[in-house]
Amino acid sequence: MSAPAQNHLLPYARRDDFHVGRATEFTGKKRLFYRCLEILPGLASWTTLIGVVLLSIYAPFVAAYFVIAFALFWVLKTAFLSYHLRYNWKRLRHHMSLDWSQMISRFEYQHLYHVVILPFYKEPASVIEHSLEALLKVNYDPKKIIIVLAGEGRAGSHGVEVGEAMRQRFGSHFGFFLHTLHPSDTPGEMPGKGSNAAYAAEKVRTEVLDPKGLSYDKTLVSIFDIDTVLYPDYFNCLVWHFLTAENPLKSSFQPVPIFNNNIWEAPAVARVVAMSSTFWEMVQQERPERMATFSSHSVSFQALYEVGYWQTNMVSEDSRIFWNLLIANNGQYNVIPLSYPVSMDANAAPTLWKTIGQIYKQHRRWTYGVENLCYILYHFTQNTTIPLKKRIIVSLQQAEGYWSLVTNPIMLFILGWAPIFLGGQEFHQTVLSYNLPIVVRDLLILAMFGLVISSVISLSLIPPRPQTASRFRYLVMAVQWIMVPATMIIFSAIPGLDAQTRLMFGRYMGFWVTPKSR
Amino acid sequence: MKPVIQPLAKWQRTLIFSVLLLAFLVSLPVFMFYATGYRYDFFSDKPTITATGGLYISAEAPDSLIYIDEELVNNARVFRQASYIQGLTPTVHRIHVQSVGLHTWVKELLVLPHIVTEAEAFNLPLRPQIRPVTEFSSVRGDTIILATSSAETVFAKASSSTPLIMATTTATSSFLINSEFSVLEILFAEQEQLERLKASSQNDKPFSFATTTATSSRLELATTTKQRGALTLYQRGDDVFAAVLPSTSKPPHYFCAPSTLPEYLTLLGNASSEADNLITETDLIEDDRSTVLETCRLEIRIDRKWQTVIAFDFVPENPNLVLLHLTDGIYVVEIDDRSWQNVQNLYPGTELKMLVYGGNIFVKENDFMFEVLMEIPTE
Repeated sequence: MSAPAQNHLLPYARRDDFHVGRATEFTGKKRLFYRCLEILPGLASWTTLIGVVLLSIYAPFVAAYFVIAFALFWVLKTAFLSYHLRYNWKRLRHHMSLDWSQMISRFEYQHLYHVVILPFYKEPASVIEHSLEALLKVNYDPKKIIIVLAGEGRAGSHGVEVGEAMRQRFGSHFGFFLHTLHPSDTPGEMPGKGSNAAYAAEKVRTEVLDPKGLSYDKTLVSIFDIDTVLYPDYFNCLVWHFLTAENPLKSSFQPVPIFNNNIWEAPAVARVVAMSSTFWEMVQQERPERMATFSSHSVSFQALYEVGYWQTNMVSEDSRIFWNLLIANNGQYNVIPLSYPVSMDANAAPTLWKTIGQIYKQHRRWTYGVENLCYILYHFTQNTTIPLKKRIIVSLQQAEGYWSLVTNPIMLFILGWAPIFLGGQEFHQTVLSYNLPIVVRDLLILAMFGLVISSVISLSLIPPRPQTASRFRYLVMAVQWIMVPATMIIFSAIPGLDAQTRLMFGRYMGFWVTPKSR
Repeated sequence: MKPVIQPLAKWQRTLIFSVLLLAFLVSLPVFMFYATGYRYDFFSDKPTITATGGLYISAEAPDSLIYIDEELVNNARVFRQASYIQGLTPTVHRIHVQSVGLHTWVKELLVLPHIVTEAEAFNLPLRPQIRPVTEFSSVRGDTIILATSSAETVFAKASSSTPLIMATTTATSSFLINSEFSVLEILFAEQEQLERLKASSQNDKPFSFATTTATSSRLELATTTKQRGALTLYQRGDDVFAAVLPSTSKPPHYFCAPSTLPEYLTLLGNASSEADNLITETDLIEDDRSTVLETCRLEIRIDRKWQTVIAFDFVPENPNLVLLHLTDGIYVVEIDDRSWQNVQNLYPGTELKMLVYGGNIFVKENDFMFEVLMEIPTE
C-alpha cells in the first residue's frame, strides 16, 4: 500500500521527524539529542536507586529521614489517589446506570458512523467471536457500524481463515464488514498493533468511507483489542460525549478498560495486576489533563487522518497516537474520559508460571511507553507553538510518572530498609535506626486503607459468579489485595526498569503480542 | 440532559491536594522528631520536649517479663526474641528480666539520648535440667539408669524430662549399648589426662615476673585459651579474661561501653557522679559521644565469685556467655560487665567435671554423666 498523500496532514505532521520511533532514525546532532533523551529515564531511575543505596552507606541519617518522608508521602499519595478512584467508581456506576440512548435522543446523530478496528494476530476464533457477538448486542443501529477485522499476514492462514469465517457469520449484521490482512515485512514498519491498525484505517478509508462518501469528521474510529467486549451503551455514551465535547475533532475518548472477561478463571496474581491497571485508569479518568489514550479508545477519523494514523515504527502506539495528535495540533488536543467500561481479558495463561511470565512481558511492553517521553521531550523542543507552560507541565508530569513507576515501589518496599543494613555501627545504635522500620511499617499499614477501597471496588466490578466457582472465591478476591506490594515490584517496577534500561542501552523492544486463551 | 455525577471538579482536586500537602508539611517534622527519639510529655506539670533513648533487650527465655525501674514493660516492640523499649529518659535504668522457674537477670544500664542501649539477658533454670547419658538404653530408646548413689545425688538436685527406666539389676544383656556414653567417657578421660600433664608442666616452669600487659603477651601467659568468633577466653593468674582478638575490627558493643556511670562521666570530663542525674543533650555533644563510643577496652575480667576457676569455656552457641567451673559448681557468667556481670548457677556440686562437646555441656559427677540444659525443655 502506498503511503497516503501528505497534503491532508496538519502542518507539523508533515515534518520528516514527526513519526520518529527511535534515535537511529536520525543522523547527526538530532540523533545524539534523541539518544540522550532515550538514556534519560533509565539514568534517572538508576541514579535514584543507586543514590539511595549510597546515601544509606555514607549518610544513613539523611537516608533514614528521606525514607520516612517518602513513606509519609506515599500514605498521602495513596489517600489522594484513593479519593479519585472512589469518585470515579461512583461516576462509573452512575454512567452504567444511565440510559444513554435516551440521553442522546435530543441530538441529531444519525449521520455519525462508527468504524470499529479489531486488530488480531493468532488469537483463537472463540475470542474474536465473543467480541463480535458483544458488538451485535449493543444498543445502537448496527448498520451505522463498520467492522474492520484487521488480521496479520505474518499469522499465515490463520488470519485469512478466521477473518473470512467471521465475515461470513457477522458480515450481514453490520453496515459494513471489512477484513484486512496487514502485509508482513513492510520496510520501515515494526510488526505490531500500530502498523496493522494504520493499514486497516487506510483500507477502510479507500474501500468504505470514500466510496460511500462518508465524511471523515462524522466518522468515529474505535480501536479495540481483540478481546474487548463492549457494554451495551458504549456507542451511545461515546456519541453523547462526542456531541457535547467542546472540540470533538480535537479530542480522543477513553473508556475504562476492565480486565474481567475471564476474571473467574484467572489466578489471583493476574486478577490483582489486571484490576490495578483498571484502577489506575479510573484514577486518571478524574484528572484528564494527565491522560493519554490507553489500549481501547475512540477518536474521530478526521483527527487520525490529519496525523497519518497510528505510528507503525514503535511499540506503544495506543498512547503515541495521543501525543502525535497533541503535538500536531499545537497542544490544542485532549482526552475526554468516558467513565464507561469496556471489558477485556485479564492476562492469564494455562499455568501460573506462564501467567506470571506473560504478565511480566505485557507490563514491560506497557512500561516501554517511556519511549513516548523521549518523543514528547523532543517535539516540545521543536514545536514552540505549544504554550511553554503546557510543555513544561506535561513534560514534568510524564517524567515523574515514569520515574515513580519504577523507583517508588523499590524504594518503599526494599530500599527503605537499606540504612538499617548499610548504615554502619554509629547509625545502628541510634534510636533513629531502631525506629525507622517501625515508623515506615506503621505508615505502610496506614497506606493499606487504599487496598481496602480497592478490594471493595474490585468486588463490585466483577461479572456474576459462574456455577463452577465457589462462593469462597469472593473471600479470596477480597483478600488478594495483600499481594499488591509484591505485584507492584514484580509487575510494575522491575519490568519498568527493564524497559527503561533497554531503551537506555539502545536495545529497542519489538511488539510482543499477549497470547489470549480462554 | 447531563449525567448527574460530573467529573471531579478542579477546585475539589486542588482542595484535597492542598489539605494533603498541608498534612505532609505538618506531620513530617513530627514523624522525624519522633523517630529520632524526641518525646513531648503531655502529663507533667511543666510539659517539655525531651530527647529520649531506648533499650534493646534480647531474652531467649519464653514468656519472660521485662521490668524497667520496677515497672513492667507492656509497650515494647518485639523483634523475634528481643524487645525494643523506646522513649526512656536518659539516665541509668534498672532492668529485670524474669520468668517463672528461671533465674532473674538484673542490670543497670545507662540510657543516652538518641541512643539505643543493647543488652542480652539470660535466664537459666532455677532447678538444673539434665539429660542423663548412661551406658545402656532400652530397645525403645529410653535411657536405662542403674540405681547408684551417684544417680541419686544428681536427681536430688536436678530434673530431667528424658524418659528414664530405673534398673536395679546388673543383668544388662537385654539393653543396648549407648555409643554417646562411650565417646564421652573417652573424652572425659582424655581431658583428665591433659589436665594432669598441664599441671605437671606448670610445676616445672621456672619463676618469672610479668613485664607487659600487651595483648600478645597476655595470650602467651594464658595456660588455656578458648576462641569463639571475635573473642578469646584465657586465664591469667586466678582470673579469666575475655579479650577481643587483635584482628577484630568490630568488637562486641559492651567492650566499647563504660561499665559504670562514674566511668562514663569521667570520660565526659564531668566530676559529678550522681547516678540519678539526667543526661542532657548538652552533656553529650557529638565529640563526647564518639569519645565514649570509640574508647573500647581490649579485655574484660570475668567474675569468678572469688573462687578458684577449675575450667572455663564459652557457652555453646553464645559467645557472650562464659561457662565457669568453680569450686562449688558450674556457672554461666555474662562477659558484659556494664554495672556488673550476672552470674547464674547452671549446676551445683563440688565433685564435678565439665566438658563442652558437640555444642552441648556435659558434666560428670562422680561416675554419673549427663548433659546440662540451659533451658527448661518444653513437651
